[in-house]
Amino acid sequence: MDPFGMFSRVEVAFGDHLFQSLTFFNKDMEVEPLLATSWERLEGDTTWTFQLREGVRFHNGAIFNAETVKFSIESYYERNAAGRTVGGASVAIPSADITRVDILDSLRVNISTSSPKALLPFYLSQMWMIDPGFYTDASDADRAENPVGTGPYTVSERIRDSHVALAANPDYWGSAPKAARVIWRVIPEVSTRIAELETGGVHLVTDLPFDQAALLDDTPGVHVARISGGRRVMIGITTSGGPEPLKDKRVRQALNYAIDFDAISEGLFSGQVDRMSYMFNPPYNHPTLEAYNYDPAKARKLLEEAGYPNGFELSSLDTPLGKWIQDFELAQTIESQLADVGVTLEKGVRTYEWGNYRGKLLSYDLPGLFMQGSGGEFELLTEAADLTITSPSNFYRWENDEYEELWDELQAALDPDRRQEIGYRMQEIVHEEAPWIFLHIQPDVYGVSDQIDWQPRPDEIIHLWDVSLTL
Amino acid sequence: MLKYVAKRLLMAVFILWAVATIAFALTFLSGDPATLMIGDHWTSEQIASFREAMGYDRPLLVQYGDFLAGLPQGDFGVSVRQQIPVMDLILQRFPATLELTAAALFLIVFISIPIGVLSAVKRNSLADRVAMSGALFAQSVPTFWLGIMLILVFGVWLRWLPVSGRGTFLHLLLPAITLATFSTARIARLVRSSMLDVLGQDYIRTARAKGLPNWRIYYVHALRNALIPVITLLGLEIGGLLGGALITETVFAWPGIGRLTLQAIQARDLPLVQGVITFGALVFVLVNLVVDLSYSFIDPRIRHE
Repeated sequence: MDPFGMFSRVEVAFGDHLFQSLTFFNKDMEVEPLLATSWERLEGDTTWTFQLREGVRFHNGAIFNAETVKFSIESYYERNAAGRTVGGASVAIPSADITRVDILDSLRVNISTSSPKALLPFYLSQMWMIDPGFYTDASDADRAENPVGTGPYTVSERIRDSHVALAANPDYWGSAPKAARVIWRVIPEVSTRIAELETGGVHLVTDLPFDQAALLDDTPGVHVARISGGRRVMIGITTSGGPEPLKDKRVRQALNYAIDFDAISEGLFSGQVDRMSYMFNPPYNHPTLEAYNYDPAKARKLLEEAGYPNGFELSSLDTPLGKWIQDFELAQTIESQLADVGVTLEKGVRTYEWGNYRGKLLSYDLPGLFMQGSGGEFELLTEAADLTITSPSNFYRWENDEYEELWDELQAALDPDRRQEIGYRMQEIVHEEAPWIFLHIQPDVYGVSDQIDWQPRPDEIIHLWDVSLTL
Repeated sequence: MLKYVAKRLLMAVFILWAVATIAFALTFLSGDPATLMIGDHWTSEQIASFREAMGYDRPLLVQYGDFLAGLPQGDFGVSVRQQIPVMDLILQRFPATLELTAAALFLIVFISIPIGVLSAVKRNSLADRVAMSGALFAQSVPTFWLGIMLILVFGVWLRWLPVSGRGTFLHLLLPAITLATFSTARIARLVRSSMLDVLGQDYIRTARAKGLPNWRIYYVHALRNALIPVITLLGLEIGGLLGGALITETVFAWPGIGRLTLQAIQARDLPLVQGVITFGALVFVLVNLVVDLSYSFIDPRIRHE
């Protein structure tokens, strides 16, 4: 329960019940006030003034004020510079690049960044405020065992790797959470999770596989909640410096038209997954782009136009094993579908342990086609950056002048409408240029008891303070 | 005796060194540890400073030396994911595994030995056949499937027992039965064959000739002699169980060493993986030493010189 040690979505979601940030990223993927009540950008756009909420106390009674903000933000940056973990803020910290925090008075601070950062309020939603009195000298074990935040819950019992029980914080500054007690349990085996849900042992379970979810749909007293998540899966294409044919966008489009995604979805995902039509996560997802359809005739025609009437041979399609749902089976299906339009693989599908595969990605040691996932972030800049030519995550070595110009503009653009417009246009370019064989967005599937009113969010975050239980 | 113990302990040190070295080498074979453990969106500066902070930028031999130097003090380093010393994590989980092992062991001993003796004494009777087919079945059933079936029957349909988790005595029943099933079957079969062997010996004939009652022949003269191989196997089983029951603990969400191991592997938490492997080997070696020493109590003819 170390605020700097909770990384994964579920850990961060759990932590949100104990710790709070200046701002809050809500279920509509928008930023709203939390421990800061308002903020404004000063001239020059690199400094912002935040007005802090009055009357907020930590679980140990300490008062939340400007000192707290300065201490918390500086702690994150000091740890990051020292190569220590920073929990869920590992992306926000370099992105925000905060250079200083100045205290104006006990409830006002100025936060400065190295360059104008339109998304500073968003980045701050990832940095929890912590009590300097407790955390200044806390050991690793202290931090892990005794979370001291300002959140609506406190920890009442914890058995490591079994469960954590939360109790409503009686001194909470906001309205009291609906459930007085919430228990988070670790149940690794999916059949056990489902059995617990069916017998009322738990009211909400995560990570249901597609086939099991289909069974649960017919069980009385529970229902399945599905939502398109934030993790995309695609086949990356080496668009430059690799095999000659893949440099031509018509070839890359042809590869996309060669994929029968309905058959893949039916065969591997119980028909519950659609082909990807947008490339950035909500709220920047392009609303009207249409996913590539299965059209082998068009694929052959495009290949012919590009000068490959009989197709061509590539070395291999590389994939890690078990990193994405059914990744190996997916790769094999794609190999056979590509062969149908004449694109064959000399060495077929090659598999790697994720660690070795990650190393290959980071050193660009990749064949023409390789399985790749992206996403997990709900913030346009991080997502758009991945496809710029200077990004270490542009494994496709794809370069497009218009995209680069839009990227330059996006970094400084402060108007939300213009940012949205840029985001949409970027996705149109990516769709047309096809540096990927577009596959799907992994859905998140939850099992939910009919006794609770809970809706999933696309970012896997589970907040329970406004969930009530009816018996 | 003391000399024997000293010799065995020395051997144990060698075994532990070998296991620890293999654990160390294996974890480095699965790719660069820093790139394995970091998040998807880390910058190359973040990766570099993480590698430096964790000491992964040092020569492999230096890292290996430090790793070995920590072992005698039980220092396996700090868990990367949880930021807590590995030994603390192991010791926190060990009681849960110990509890489950004790419960399973109780079931194993008190079910397998009577069944094995009965089968041997009533050889080829209906009871023997039923018991041995049952044992064969119990040995062939996958633990994973058995656990889920027990949950379905006793948790979901009958609602007699809690589905998962650790807490009351009732929580202990299903995982203990699941864990005990395989070993019970295995040991019952061994007791039977070992008893059959002993029952054919001359001294049993002598005992019968002396007119001793049957129960005395079976339980005092025969069983005691038949127990040596059983105890050896039991020792191996206990050693294995104490290292954590990966599948059973996972199915029943039991917070023991097995869960910790799986968690460490899934999170690619290298110090923790190395720690649980070495700890498992240590427990295994110690349990087997105790078992070997116990031979002389069961059979006074055995002396450890």
